Amino acid sequence: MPALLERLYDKHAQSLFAFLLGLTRNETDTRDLLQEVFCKLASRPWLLDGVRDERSFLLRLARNAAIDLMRRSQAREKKFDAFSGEAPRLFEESADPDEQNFQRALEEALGALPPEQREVAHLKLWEGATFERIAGILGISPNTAASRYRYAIDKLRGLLRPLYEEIKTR
Amino acid sequence: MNEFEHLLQRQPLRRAPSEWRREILDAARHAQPEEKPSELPWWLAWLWPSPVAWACVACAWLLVIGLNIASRPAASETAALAPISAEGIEAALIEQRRLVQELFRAENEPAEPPRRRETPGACNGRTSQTQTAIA
Repeated sequence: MPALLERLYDKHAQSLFAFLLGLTRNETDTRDLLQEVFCKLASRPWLLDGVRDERSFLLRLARNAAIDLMRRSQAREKKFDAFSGEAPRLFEESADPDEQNFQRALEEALGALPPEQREVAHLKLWEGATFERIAGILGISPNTAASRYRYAIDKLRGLLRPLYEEIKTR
Repeated sequence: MNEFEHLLQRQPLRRAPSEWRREILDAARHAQPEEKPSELPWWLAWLWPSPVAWACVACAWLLVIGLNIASRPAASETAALAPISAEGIEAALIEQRRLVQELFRAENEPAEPPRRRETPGACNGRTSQTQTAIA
């Protein structure tokens, strides 16, 4: 079992970390949730029986844990707002100051998105998931996933337009 | 994906702190293993989504069957009813056929022309009066 957990951690923990950090926008919560996911796998190893796509399964498990955490806090909206306001570092810091500026702006813009759009945008852009796969992870229809993604991209484009134009002209 | 989306995609995501690996895996190792829930028998699995609803439906059916049995006539009442013999049915059918034929016959017969009402007294009287006048 420890070998299985180590393998799962090495293969999927970075993805889960980025997804959870993007969703919760809080590093402490992200750590707690990541630990919760692995503790759950350790105590209930049969959960992985018959799982074909480990990454999708773990992302779904992590998301459910995040939703439970927000419900436990009894103030989901408030919590989300708090998460959105913190703008933690989501990206590896670039050496180029202009890119740093863009990253900071992107982190803030992502925080301005509703959580359901943020998670779809993350899975599409950084997880490279198809809308069908996103739909499976989030328990929504592929059409809903696609429309949420479109809204997210439109909003991000609007918020980042000045910086984006600047980068394009360089 | 367009250029803007590619630009977003190129941003490298931050990596989880390396010390987390040991901490999280240690915590996972100390997690208490849970018993795998036993598989339900097939009939229970079939009822599982809403066992109360299924039980209510079963009770309703039992009630209907009970009422049906209770409202049946007693054996003595059934025996008292005279059984309808084949001859009786045949006679009834013949009678019915005869009545139908009569009805058809009545419909097909040409209607009698309306009879002229004869009032010989009045007519003759008028003629005799005319004759008298001429004379």
